[in-house]
Amino acid sequence: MIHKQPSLGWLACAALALVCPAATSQQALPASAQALPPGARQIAGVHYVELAARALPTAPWAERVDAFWEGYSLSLALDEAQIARLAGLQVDFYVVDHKDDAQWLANRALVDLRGGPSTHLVQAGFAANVVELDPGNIFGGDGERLSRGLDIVVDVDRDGTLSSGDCIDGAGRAPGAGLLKTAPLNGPYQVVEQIYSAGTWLGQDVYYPANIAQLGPRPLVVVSHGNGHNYQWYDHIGFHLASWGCIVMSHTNNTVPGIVSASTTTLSNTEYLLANQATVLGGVLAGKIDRTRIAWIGHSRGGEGVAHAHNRIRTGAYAPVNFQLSDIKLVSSIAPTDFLGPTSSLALGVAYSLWTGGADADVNGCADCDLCQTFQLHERANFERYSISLHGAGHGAFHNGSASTVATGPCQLSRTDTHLVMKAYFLPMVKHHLFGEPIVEECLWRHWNGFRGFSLPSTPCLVVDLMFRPPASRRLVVDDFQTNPATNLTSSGTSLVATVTGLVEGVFNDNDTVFTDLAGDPMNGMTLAGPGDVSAGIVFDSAPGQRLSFELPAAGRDLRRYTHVSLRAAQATRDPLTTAVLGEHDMEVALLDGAGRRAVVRASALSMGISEPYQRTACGTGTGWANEFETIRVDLEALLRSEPAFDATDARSIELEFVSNGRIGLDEVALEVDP
Amino acid sequence: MKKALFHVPAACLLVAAATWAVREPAPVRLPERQPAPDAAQDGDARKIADGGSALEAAPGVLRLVAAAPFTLQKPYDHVWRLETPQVWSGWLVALEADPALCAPRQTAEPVLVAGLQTAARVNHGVLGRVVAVLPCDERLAGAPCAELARSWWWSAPALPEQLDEAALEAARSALPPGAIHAVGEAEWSAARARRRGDRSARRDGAVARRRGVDPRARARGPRDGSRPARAARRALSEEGAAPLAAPLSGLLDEVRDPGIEARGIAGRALVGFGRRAVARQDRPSEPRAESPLAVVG
Repeated sequence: MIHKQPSLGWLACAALALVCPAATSQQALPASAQALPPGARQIAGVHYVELAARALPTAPWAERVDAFWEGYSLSLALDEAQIARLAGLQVDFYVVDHKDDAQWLANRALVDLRGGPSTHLVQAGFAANVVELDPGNIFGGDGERLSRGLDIVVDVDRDGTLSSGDCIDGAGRAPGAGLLKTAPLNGPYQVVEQIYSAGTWLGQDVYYPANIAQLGPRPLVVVSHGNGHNYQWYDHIGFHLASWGCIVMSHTNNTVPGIVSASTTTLSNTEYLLANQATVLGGVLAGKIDRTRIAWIGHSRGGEGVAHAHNRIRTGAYAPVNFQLSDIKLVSSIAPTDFLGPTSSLALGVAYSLWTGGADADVNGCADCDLCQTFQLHERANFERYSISLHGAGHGAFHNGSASTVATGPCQLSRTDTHLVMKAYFLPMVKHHLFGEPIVEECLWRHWNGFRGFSLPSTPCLVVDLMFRPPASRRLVVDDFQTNPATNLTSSGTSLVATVTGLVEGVFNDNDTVFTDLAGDPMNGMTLAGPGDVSAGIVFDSAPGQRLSFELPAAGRDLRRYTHVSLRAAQATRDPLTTAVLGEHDMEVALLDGAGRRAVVRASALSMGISEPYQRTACGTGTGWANEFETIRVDLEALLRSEPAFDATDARSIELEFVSNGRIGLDEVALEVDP
Repeated sequence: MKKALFHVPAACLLVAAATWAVREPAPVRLPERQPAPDAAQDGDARKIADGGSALEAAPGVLRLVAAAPFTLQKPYDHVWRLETPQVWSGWLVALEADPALCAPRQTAEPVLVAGLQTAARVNHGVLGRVVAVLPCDERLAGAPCAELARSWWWSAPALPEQLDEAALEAARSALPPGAIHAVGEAEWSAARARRRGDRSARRDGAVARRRGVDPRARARGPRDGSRPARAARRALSEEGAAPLAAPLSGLLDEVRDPGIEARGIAGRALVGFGRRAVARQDRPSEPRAESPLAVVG
């Protein structure tokens, strides 16, 4: 687990500096500390702070992140409290392999992965203390973990050990930073693929590491294909995830009768493999499948089928024999249909991810077809959830069959490019939820402009829009528009003050059958809700200087509990304000405290923005496909840097100020904390 | 458990169906309808969305090519309709149909119906050749199954598992005149007479061989690298569809539903189409020597 210092790390560091007694590097762990729960700070005298950062060319100069792609720059940023404490001192920076507190206590020697430490003279001013530690030379490691855990140390006394007075980002329970291997590339294992059939609808294509005999129990990834598809069309998922340590099983799927039948084959194939692992494929999988770590991935009708299968178990309609509901750790739907609607096609209480192709000519997302609107399944998911939308990806681009990509629209993506993107996101998802690598969660929400690894397609046609929502335990909802429909009231009961025009709050469901821009359809292009769905938000016209101000509920006034301000937004398709200037829509995110002090950062300064809709025609007149929401998560520390006097214990409101004209959809304004 | 019964005529039908399913399609005489998703273009979104209309005057089923009855010793559930009745008997059929209605898509598809019974399609039939299992139980229906298999139509796009008797009745009553393909006496006789030794079957086999397609290869997976298998894959790709269970093996799969513990018969049937397809499969604890399934015809 990454130990983001409870938001404003500098506050904590300053507090520690005051209360921690000086300690020698050889100091034994005090008895009281030994009784602390796992993860509690145990090394007396050492300052646990946030150091890892992504350097920015302009203010706010850096944002706190934990994940870095192998081959890319790794930086450090000293916060104001450390700068004040260390100004004028020459210090050494170390990048070392992660160790927990007990390991550090056993051996405090600093062994830098770069061959030696870098030296830095701490100067006044934040920007002067944003330092590149490595341009991309550190090896990501060769194990099956996607991330190599790193601890970053400021060796204040320059004695080459982690000693009292030094600062560390890491130790405790989790690394300070994670160096990620190139996700689209294969992992460390050779893969064996075997196909067998145990009878009707029990045809299975199984992928597993060739050295599985030497490995412990492996997570199981089940792939359920779509209608007219084939279970042998998912090599790109099977080989890739198996090379990273999974057992992947793609099965024949009875999709033609419908979604219930498809879900039955997902269940029966999962059951069969678990029950017969000792004998299938000559017993090579005997004892090697960890039934407590299962992911279900489905495509199209199969994508709806996996969600329905999960719901069948949850509601008691199906009682699994060889696993239980809690063993399903991830459900992922690729371009799913939505035949069964809000009460049956949903995955509750489990991490859920959705894939949508902007050029999909089958499950096409047009306003006239509710069962073709993928986002509805995403909106129903109530636990950790992700959405990955690819402009230009067709329905058939997600599998590797030889038929058409079933695409329509401009700038279409090839199957190869689509698969690279799938690998880049599926692997972090699987590593996070099946292998317990929470640090890779950042891969699932950080925008590509500031976080793009190697081996991804370079075509300018590739636009990836991400939505991310952590579980409720990690967020405080300020306004999700699910209650209090008055436009001057947030769902948390506080006030909403708007100077934007044309503000409408309602269910995100295009109220006609076209994407044509019509005056009577304020929710034009919204496909997040269908009949019976409740996902709601606001739409409005923005202009430079216009604002939305969300009063914070009492629980949100002390920002030290949080790491990010989060919201999701979309440009409204085919609206003249959208089509006038096609491109990323920018905005400022601000916080106000009780004294009226205002801290602000522009989303673009953090390499974030709201993409224009995919420029596809049909579904009425005009150009532009369904509204695609993107999540913007603003690092609180970066935001508050603009106003050093800001009282982080007394924040009063979140303010969005617009810098250009646009027609915008907005939802899920929240304060969040990293894992 | 009785000894497995494997009736020659049923096997003959399977041979014929497999061979026939890959031969050159006859010209389609129906007006153009909804395009397959692969052919979708801008402007087609709405048609794709609602699945198009199957309720046109011309029948979507053009010809009953072959039909053979079967009976089972243990039933399986017919998941192609809402009531999921148990299947004890029925027809294995091969049909010539409007390819436009057969194209697979994720959204709703037209549903193949005989009388008021949904047929379980074994293949999609994108070339216009559909192999299907039509459940029929005279003990329950109280009507001759032969009559059921002589009245074919396509319902409006739907999920078969959501259709019940009332929905089918309503759909049928909404059909325009001429939308039901009534199998005439000559067509019925020809369909019932179709055998492996038949001239038509031999002709179909010859056509397939000229195209380099060994019908036996269709029972193998697409990973099979043999020349016949590659040819079969080419033929399937010409269909523009997945080899969703190649027609023959799919048909056999349908028959050997695990609910009826009839895998043995499937294995036996595969003898004529490529035993290796079975031999290469790992099927633990699967009874092969005996089967409760009896196919009669």
